[in-house]
Amino acid sequence: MLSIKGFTKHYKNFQIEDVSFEVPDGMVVGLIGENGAGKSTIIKSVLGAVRPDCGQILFNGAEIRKAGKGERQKISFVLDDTGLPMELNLVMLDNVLSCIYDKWDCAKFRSLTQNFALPDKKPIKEFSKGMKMKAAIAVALSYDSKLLILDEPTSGLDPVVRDDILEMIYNYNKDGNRSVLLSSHITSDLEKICDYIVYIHEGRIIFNEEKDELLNKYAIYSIDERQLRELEQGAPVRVLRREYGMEVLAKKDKMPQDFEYKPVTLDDIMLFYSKGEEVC
Amino acid sequence: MLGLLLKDIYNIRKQAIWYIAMIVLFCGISVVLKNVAFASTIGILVTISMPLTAIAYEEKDGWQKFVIASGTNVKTIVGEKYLLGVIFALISIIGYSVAFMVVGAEEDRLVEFTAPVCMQLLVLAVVLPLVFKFGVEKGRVYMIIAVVLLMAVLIAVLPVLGNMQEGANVFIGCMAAITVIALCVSFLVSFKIYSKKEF
Repeated sequence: MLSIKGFTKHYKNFQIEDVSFEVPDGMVVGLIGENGAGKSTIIKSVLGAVRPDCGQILFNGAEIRKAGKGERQKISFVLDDTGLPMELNLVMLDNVLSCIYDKWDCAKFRSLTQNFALPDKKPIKEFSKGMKMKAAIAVALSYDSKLLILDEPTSGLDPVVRDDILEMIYNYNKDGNRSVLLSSHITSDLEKICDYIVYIHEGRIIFNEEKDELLNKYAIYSIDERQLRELEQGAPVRVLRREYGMEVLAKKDKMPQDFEYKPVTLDDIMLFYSKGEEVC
Repeated sequence: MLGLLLKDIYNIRKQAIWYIAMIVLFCGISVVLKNVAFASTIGILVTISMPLTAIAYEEKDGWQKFVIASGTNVKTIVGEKYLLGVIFALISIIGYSVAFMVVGAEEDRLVEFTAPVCMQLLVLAVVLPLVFKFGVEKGRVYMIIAVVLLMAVLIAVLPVLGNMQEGANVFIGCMAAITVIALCVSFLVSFKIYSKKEF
């Protein structure tokens, strides 16, 4: 569906280097990373708002920068700031977007906004953050797309709204024909719905793996320096030294079977990669 | 184009009512004082303020990212702002025309009528590329400079134009041609600037 190859973008104080990953047909891919890791830049490049210095972005096998309006409108999106005109109410927004999108479905938009209990006549600027995000999702789901891209859709929202949003994403993807690329630093949300996880750290891809495999592959061990030195090479990946002891992120299959371990979460993996030391 | 225009009109509807009220007020002042300079000046202000206000909202809302991602052509995005400016120019020209007729229009004063009309479109042609390049915040400074300069030219030239008898038609034709060319060149420059922008 979507293929990013060798994406490179240089800014004055930050760069994204040689990022490559795919969003396969019918899959949900989660893009994780700390704030400022480069997730939004990659998403904006896919949407055409940022131009890569190097690399290719292919949508259904064709270069996305050459795609026409019809092809671009097969990608629906939810931006972190929604991008919606805040002075408008939903009736006005419906009128505007029906002129912009070739396959805009007014009935679907009205039904979605009613289901989300969004007021029709109130300007969007008076909505709560969760309501704004729901309005943006209603927009994204009201035209016929094949790929849904969401940039931090659950950031700053309460657990109930976050769950509603995850359910909408699940419903979008459940028929298996449509794919989702979802960026977030709230990894617990991604653990619920993603098939693949791409972790970006300081502008580089640290891993790009199937989620369940990833969570089964690693574990956290509380060990001491002597035990660490005796481990098989390649078993420990990152070490976090704390005042109360040392924790190691390690590959389970290479660790001694009698060592006790704690199952790993995506949050743990991010924490070890961002704050931990590399094990040589 | 229609969707973008509709969005802008919804966005700036409150300001638009104020500006239309100001057009009426300034035209009234022109009639009372028998001086069309007031009506022509408000025309310049309205022609550039409306697209600028619309762009300011877009910058605040992050709409520029949204509209690019929707697959809308850059030419359409840029062209719509010129169209918005021209629409408000036409509204102000209606007021200016009424004021001009009431104050006392004569056939030989056509130059005096045409110059401010062309001037307001020329200001639009100068200001829009600057705003696309620098954004509304910095663009406003350039806008004020452009308006002050052109108003000074207008005030200095209007009495001369009013007395112009010979070659008036040539002058009007030249002014109109320069205005159209300036708008076309301005559009192309804005298109180039916008195409290179990242959001």
